[in-house]
Amino acid sequence: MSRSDDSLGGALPWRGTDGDVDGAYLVERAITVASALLIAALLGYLFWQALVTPSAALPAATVESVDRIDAGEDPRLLVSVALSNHGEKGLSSAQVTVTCGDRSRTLEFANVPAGGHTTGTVTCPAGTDPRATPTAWIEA
Amino acid sequence: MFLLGVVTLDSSLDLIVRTVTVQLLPLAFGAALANELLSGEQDEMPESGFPQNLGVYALGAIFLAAPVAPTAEVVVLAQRNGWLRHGILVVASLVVTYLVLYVLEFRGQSMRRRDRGPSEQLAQAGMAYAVSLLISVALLTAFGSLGNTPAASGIRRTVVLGFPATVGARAARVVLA
Repeated sequence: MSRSDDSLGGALPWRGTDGDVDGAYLVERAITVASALLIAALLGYLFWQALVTPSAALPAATVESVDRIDAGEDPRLLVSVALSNHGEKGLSSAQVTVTCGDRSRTLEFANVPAGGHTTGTVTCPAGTDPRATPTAWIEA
Repeated sequence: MFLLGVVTLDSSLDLIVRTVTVQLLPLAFGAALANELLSGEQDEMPESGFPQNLGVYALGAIFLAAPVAPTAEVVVLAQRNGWLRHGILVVASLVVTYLVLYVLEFRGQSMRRRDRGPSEQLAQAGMAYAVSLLISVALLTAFGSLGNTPAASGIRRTVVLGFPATVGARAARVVLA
């Protein structure tokens, strides 16, 4: 069924007074739809995260990289450590212990967001196998 | 303050009273100012149409959210509150926007309601909130709060800043046009 411009032109909201297509009206409609989609996607994401994110997950520490530094007779390892917060709430502070053989180092992190991660670096003696463990944290 | 997680059901009465007392002076001042500027007894102004209304929303959102965006409070509130509370904050922002624009008899309400059904009114409220969210993203990006931040944290910060931004957007709609 075809529409007649003469019969419908002035009655439709996307028609101007002279019967032309009202571009501003169409753009406004498009922005309205985009706004609705944005809000629906945001709400969907937030409530989906509320369902799937564990409320009390433990933070995890991992050794991201180990680089050897040749400093004369005292070679060392540059150890990059990442702390990941898988919980629903951020951490206002966290402590990670990095064990290098029989020695240990402590890293302090502040403001680790929920679902986020942060990194720090320590040095270890060469020839050791660095391991990182979160030992204490305070939820925000 | 409950929505933003500053006060919870577990908070002691003493803490709630002290926190509310601190807020009383600025809230009373804001209420008096709003009564003077925004009440329905003021002269009606012609409503700005599309796309001027987008500019009005953006101007109001920038006016109120720009001083808040670089502060640590956005990060702290986004970090402290869970996902569900962020979702409730979005819904509350939308509902209050609709109420201020079309229900609570603020200045210019009859002009805003003219020739506009409930679905059109909801669409306008949604558009105001969407503009506020985009302004929030722009401000957080400009102040470096979204750089090197996980997407999840960025979204939470945007929702938190979106709340004052949308207050500014709807206030601008009432005050300016």
